[in-house]
Amino acid sequence: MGWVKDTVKSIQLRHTLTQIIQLGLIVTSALVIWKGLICITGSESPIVVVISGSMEPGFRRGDILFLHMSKDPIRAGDIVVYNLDGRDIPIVHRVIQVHERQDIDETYILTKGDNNPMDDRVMYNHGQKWLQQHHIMGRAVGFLPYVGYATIIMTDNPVLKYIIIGALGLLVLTMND
Amino acid sequence: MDYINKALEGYSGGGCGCWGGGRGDGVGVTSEVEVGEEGVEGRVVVDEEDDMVSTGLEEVQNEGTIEYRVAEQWRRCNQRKMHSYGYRANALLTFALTILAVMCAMASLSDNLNSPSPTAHVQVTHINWFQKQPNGHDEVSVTMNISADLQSLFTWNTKQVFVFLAAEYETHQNSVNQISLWDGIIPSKDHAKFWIHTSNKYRFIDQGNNLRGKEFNLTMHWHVMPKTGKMFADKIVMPGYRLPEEYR
Repeated sequence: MGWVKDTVKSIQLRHTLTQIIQLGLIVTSALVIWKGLICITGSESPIVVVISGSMEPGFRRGDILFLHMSKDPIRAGDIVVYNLDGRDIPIVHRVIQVHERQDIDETYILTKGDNNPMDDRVMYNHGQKWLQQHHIMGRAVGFLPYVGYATIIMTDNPVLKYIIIGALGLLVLTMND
Repeated sequence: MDYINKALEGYSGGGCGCWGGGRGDGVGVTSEVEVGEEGVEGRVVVDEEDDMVSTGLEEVQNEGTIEYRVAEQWRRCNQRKMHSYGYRANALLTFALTILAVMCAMASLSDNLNSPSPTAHVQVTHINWFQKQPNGHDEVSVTMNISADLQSLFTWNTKQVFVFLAAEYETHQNSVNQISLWDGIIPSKDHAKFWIHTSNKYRFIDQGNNLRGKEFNLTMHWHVMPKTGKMFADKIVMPGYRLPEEYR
């Protein structure tokens, strides 16, 4: 009878191992997709969630944007995502002025949110009049509504984030497949 | 023999829902019947309910063939998987999300079938003032008549059209200068044919003092924002505008 128990036990052990491997697969495949998107789009963060209402009614809080960093120069009207020096949060706004220099390879860009009354100079760092190429993280090429709302809720309530992550982890570990 | 078959039938027919498919499972049934033929305390099975059937049979098996036990283990495992609420909810959710994603993709792709033919016309009616700022940059203020018909841009997947008018010119310093003078958000097709008389909404300031006598294009740009999917943009270039030779 002992070897029967051993067999059953080894089945359970295999089961646990399979679960761990599956959990690992989920995590790594998410990472592969993200890194793959970075390579394909050339943008360091290919998907961003809109967190302010400054582009309403085009983009609302919680919409997600797909960014692309092509070789094409930035032109007026493009919706760009830029990151100011020393700030953490990238901003999604529309380009309203472009000045491209003849002598040096530099472009001066001014942006504005569609829903803001003024251009973005007031938001730029002190004394900064223009955005330059290195501030730009990507250009918005497509969008999906609402999908990013979960991340906004989680950023607003960090406790909820840990609860959800914990619950999901528990679910994956206890689930039978 | 018979009573065991009956017991099995009754059991699989009236048992709890999650065992519904048990009868068709070849391995389990045949080995149970074999046990019955040995006639060892088979009657226990009939009097017991639900789960006790299989546990009873397990007791009945003298040595308990390993095939039976392993098969039983797998059978239970699989059945729990196939019929649990979690599994069903998961399948339903996956299916719903797939359908939604396909519909979004189709809505976005359907925009390609639209071949719009918008028109725009702009007339500069007056130079309000034209001067050099203290910091050396030229600034001009103009009054314009803008008329456009952008109705053909709207499809069923269009949320809004963002339209703006930009002055575009080249200077010895800059190969490209684009300055947005006026913009507007068109929320629906009904508002897509418009005529307005306005002075420039945003300041028309050169990055230098190159505006005197400068020829420039006025370009009507539009960005179609879809309800979902890919954004479209295009423009109409209207050449042949010129600023005055002197400040005023």
